[in-house]
Amino acid sequence: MTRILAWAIFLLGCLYFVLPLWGMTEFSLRMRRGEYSLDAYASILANAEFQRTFAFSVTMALVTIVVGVLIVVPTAFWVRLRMPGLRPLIEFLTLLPLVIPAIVIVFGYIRLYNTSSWLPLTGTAMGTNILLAMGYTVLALPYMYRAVDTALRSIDVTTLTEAAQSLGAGWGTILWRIILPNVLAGVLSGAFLTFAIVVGEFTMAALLDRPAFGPFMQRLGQDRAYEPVALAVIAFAITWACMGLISLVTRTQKHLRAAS
Amino acid sequence: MAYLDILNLEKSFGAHRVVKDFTLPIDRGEFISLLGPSGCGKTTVLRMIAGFETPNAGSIRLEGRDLVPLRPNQRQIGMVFQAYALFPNLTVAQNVGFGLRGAGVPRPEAQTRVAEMLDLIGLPLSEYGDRYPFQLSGGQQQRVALARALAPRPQVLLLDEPLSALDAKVRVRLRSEIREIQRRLGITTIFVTHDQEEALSISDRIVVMNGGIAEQVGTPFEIYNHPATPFVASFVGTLTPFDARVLDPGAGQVAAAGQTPDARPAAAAPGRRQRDPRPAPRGDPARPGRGARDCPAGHGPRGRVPGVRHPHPRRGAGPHHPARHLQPPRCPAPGPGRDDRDQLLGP
Repeated sequence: MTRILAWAIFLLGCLYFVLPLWGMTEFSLRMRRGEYSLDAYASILANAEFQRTFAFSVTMALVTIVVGVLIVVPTAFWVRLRMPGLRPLIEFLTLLPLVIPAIVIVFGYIRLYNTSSWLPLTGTAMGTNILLAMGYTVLALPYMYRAVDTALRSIDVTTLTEAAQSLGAGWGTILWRIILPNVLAGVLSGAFLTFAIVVGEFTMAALLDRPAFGPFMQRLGQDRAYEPVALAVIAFAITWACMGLISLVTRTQKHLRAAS
Repeated sequence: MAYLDILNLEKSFGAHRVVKDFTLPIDRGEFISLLGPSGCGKTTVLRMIAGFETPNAGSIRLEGRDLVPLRPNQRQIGMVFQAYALFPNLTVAQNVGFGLRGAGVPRPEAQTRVAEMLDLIGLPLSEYGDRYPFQLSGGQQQRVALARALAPRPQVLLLDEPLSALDAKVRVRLRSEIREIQRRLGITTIFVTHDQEEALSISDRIVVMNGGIAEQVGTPFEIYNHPATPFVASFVGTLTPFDARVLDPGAGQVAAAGQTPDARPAAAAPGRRQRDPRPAPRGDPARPGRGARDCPAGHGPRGRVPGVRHPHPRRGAGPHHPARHLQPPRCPAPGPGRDDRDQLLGP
């Protein structure tokens, strides 16, 4: 009896998850009347603005990942090594972006870095892009920090650092050759989460008026019927591909198998 | 001046003084053990030499150069850790070569050195070079860690309880291998342990530490047979201590448990021997002596009287004498002994 109930609940969960996806996919295939076709996808992929905005957002995502890794890995490493007492504070700081709405952050940026400020970043397109990347880094901070910190927990940071130091390594070498490779799984999961967030982000990109993918999706949603749905399916596919890549990379990393 | 000079070292963590006025001159090529219970400050001394802790006072001089202001990576001191601390993301060969890359050793030379080091520890490059640390046993990992520490040719090798995580059989074998390698390379080595058997079996000299103080510094033989303080006596070996009062140091008479020996001349008393106050050269087989030392698990406290200071001719730096390599027998057989002449035999 409980078995049947368990299966029933499981199936219900599956339906809840799969039905909207299936409906969405099915709808995206019905652009041509009376038959299934990939017209909506073809129309999207051929759209010059899609290509432009998508490329822009992917670039932003990569920049954000690099900046995020450069900030988070040394910070998490140093906090673990030398200032374990500060960990709660750092964790609190990294969680702030989850409670402060993006719109508040971006308004703050615009007020702080406008053309009449001491650092007029919004004066040029490149400056605004930099500002946007910084904003994205803040948004991705909770995910990146958690992932890296968890990965750091699985290695003996102090002893490995001391071993490397006694072998003549400086901080750069330690971070690059010892710490980063050993927390790579965490860095990658943080990176893929960052990628997913940045590619779909709307608020910051729209208010800073950058040609990003989020605002494009929003505009497309207002104007068209089938294409936005096709776009959503594509977005799901990208997310799943990222998740698959995470587990693939973790599995091919030989030395990580021992730890897990 | 000794090769490595540790002078008046002090270290406190907060209000807690962990190391108190620690002084130790170490000769080139010596194997020194820091022996003591946990919390006695032995690891802290080691970490100050390595540069992971900064002393509050005192100096550490290596060939006259003060190490204290130097960062750990500038000191050219190799270290082996209890937890192996191999880099899990690097292969055995890459681990051993790690210190060479940073030191700017050219690649072909580095490769030869890695092969050389792996041969030294008995894990040939062809078979083990491409393995990752997790594919090795604990003993093998610690050997690789030893090779890694030795590869950049450090001036001093520090071993921080390197055998504690290993099982008993491996521990004994690796211990003699470490000593063998140390002798072959002639590298000055400081070994931290809480295991007296380890310290007694591989050291040139032992520093027995307690509460941040070096209680006694001496050869294993001296430490075992002539403990300078009650702590050393109780920490090294097993014995039954009892309070005694020295009546006549010249005649070797003590009053123990309220009993005084009769007044017969000491020389004639059976089982009691005259003490020779003059230090004699070590390892002199011409001097007869009796194996007065008991087995640690043996019958009684004969042979070691804690609290009675014996004259020690050579503490600290001195010429390297082959006799100092002699390992102390756990239970010496009766026969010509080296230091027995100043033993006090109990009543």
